[in-house]
Amino acid sequence: MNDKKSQTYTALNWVFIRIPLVIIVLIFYLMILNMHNSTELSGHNIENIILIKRLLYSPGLLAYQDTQTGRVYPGIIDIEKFDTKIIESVLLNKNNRIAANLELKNIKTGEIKRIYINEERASAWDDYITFDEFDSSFQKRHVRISQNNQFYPGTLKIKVYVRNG
Amino acid sequence: MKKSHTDLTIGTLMGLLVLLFVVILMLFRGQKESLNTKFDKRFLSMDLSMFIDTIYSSPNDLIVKYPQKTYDYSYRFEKSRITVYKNKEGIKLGESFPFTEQKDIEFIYTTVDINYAQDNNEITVGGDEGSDNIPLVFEKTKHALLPTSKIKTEEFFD
Repeated sequence: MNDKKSQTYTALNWVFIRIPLVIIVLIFYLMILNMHNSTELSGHNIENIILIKRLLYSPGLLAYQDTQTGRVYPGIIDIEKFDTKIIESVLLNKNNRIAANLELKNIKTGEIKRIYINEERASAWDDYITFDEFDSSFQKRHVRISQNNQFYPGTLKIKVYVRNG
Repeated sequence: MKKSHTDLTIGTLMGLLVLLFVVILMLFRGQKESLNTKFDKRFLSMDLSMFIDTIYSSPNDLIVKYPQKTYDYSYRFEKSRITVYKNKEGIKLGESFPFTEQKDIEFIYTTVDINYAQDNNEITVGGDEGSDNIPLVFEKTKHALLPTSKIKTEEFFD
């Protein structure tokens, strides 16, 4: 009788304590190992800053380029390139990851011009910037505007949105 | 008395066997995980994407070396995506990340694979960190951006 009790106790001990304990330990161990791999990588807005620099420095985008010398002036915005169609045709946003809105103000005349990259998403993503899936950056810069061979003082506001991954 | 003694011994033995099995399983899985390069590949693909974006922002022509330890990996650049993979594992286990191309500067799609090694003649290119071989280099001209590798070939003929 005592042997039977002892056998039942051992069997229950295995089924309800030891084996579940081993399984729990294994699950925790695998979870910790998987955490190592699933650590999310984040650019911490570096991508946005790079995109802003790219818009300002690249002669194919906004920077003014002297036609005779070929020299590029990153602080000067070429008003002829400041156009949504031109920017969107040059910047091949094939993955639909980036969006931006840019506002250029001519301080002398007070004229304001707005252009977009991926306009629809720029407005939509503005509501989602609190989510980890999106990074956004805003910069305001004092620039010169090249228009009809004349240079005017101006301000450029850039807001860039990048969808992670 | 003897039977309960035997039961106790078998029970303890079974417990020890289960413990041993679990420990071996954990060690095996841990070792496998330590060799996992998924994180490295993800980091490299994302870092390269930002590196290419930065090169695009340069107003001038340039040749720039990618300053990471990249000897163990191969790179496929296609359709605005970078895929980093290990030759041994194959491209299917690679990790990719998108980058943004520019129409006026054509990105030349290519695969940079410098991990080739010839066993008989003992030529190893990718794995030798001490050599002057540069695993990944970007050449940007006014109209094109080309990822490539620079290999110091004269060493092979000495």
